[in-house]
Amino acid sequence: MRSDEELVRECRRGDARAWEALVRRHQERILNLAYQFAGNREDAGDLAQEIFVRLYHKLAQYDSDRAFRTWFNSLARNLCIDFYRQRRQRPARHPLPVEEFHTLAASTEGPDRCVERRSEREFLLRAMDELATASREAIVLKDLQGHSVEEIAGMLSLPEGTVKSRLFRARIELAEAVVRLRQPAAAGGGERGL
Amino acid sequence: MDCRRFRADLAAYLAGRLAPLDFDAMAAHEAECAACAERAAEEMDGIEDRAAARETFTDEWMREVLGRTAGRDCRAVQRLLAERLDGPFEPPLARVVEDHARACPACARVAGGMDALPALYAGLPRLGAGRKFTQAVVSRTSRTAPGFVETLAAMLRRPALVWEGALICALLTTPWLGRPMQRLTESVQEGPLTVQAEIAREAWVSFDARLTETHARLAGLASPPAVREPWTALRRVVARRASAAVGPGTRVGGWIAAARIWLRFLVHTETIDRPAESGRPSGPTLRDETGVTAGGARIEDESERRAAGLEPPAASFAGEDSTGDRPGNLEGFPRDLP
Repeated sequence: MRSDEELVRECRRGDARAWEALVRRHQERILNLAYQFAGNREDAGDLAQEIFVRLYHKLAQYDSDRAFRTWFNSLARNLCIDFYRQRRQRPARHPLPVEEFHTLAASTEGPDRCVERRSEREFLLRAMDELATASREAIVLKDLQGHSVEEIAGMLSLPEGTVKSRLFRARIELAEAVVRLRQPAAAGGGERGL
Repeated sequence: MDCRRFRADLAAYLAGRLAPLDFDAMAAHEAECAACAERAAEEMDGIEDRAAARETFTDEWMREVLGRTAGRDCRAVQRLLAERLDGPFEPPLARVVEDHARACPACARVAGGMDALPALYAGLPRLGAGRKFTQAVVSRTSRTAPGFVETLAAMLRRPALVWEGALICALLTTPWLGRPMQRLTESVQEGPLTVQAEIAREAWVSFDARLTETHARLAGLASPPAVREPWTALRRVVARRASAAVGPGTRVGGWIAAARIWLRFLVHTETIDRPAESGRPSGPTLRDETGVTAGGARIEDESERRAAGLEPPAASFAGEDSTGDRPGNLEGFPRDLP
């Protein structure tokens, strides 16, 4: 299998197949990264497409001495952060997309469990919306995307200690936000709580 | 309390060696200043990392850590709770954290939220990007066929087009406005020394030199005549003139200027063209390397040539002699330029 760097070289030479292969290789990861920042499927799809279009236009600037994945992650992360900042300025929305209704309907789990999962997802997304940009970024990159502290430090050009501090602070904030959001639900639903 | 003072006392602060009032001032500053709070957190990480490097959590070490975080237990414990998501602690440390969390409602709350996080993370859907997504991206990034305007703009960006365009202009306008080049170069001798005349003269000189070369080659039958060379020489002259007229970097301007020069160059033939005067040879001055004209006269130097009325040399492009005959050794050379 050709490496990312080889594919990029071929893309630069105008090979459309190499570009398609590059998109196919990274699309799922980028789509999920976008989802974790955007919070809903529609915005995530649009954002992921924007990331790839930006990548296409910036391929000429890629320095082949750097690892492509790290470089691309930085690019994607910058666009996600921009999106997240813009979205924070307008009211947050977490509509349940139609596709998800279909998914829930087709699921083998019972309706109660489906509703519970949806509710938990809503809690998490709302709690993440309360985080500062840097905190959300730390959570997404470490806990949801699974990057190591070292990778994140490289991506953000920060010392590892600072990344760790941000991550731990972000987790504390998120945990507090989850509890805070669950409390009214628990009060309303009786048994729901920690 | 300012940041400088905070950083100076940070080690003592973390070690719990400060007096209560100083400690409170430090804690207040830490709560207010994000940069200092981050610095303190990094220092704490360093302490913990050094301790973790020992790989054992002895009671002595626990006392040391707790001593250094005296008064800041909740923050230290909450950080440990956050760290615990990356992997379980060694039993002594885990016991300390759990004991604290049980006794402290604020930390219990954080611990509860923290325990819920892994399940919440797992509940997030993993989106799949199918072929539709790939196609959408590829179609957005694929180059569409350029339209007429884009094609025109791209053509105008080609530097060579400036001169190609000028040449096409000349070719198109010659039958309409111009005369054969031969007539022009002859008539220029009598015309005013305008830019156009100068161009014609330069063009001629260049052409003459190349013609001589060709002649020489033909004489030795070394290679067939390069019939396009005179055009190249002429085109270079126009190019140089156009560049000088409009300056570098203005391609469209250069294109227009080149076309204008060509046009004026050709129109000029109408205005200054006149019949050759009697006594001045209007025909051949073509000479070979030995300086012998096609008519057989030998011209030794420049003064002789001037005396013979041949300055600048006024050979026809077709290489005709005074009788209109073509020299035998220029067989195949074009009679007229287009």
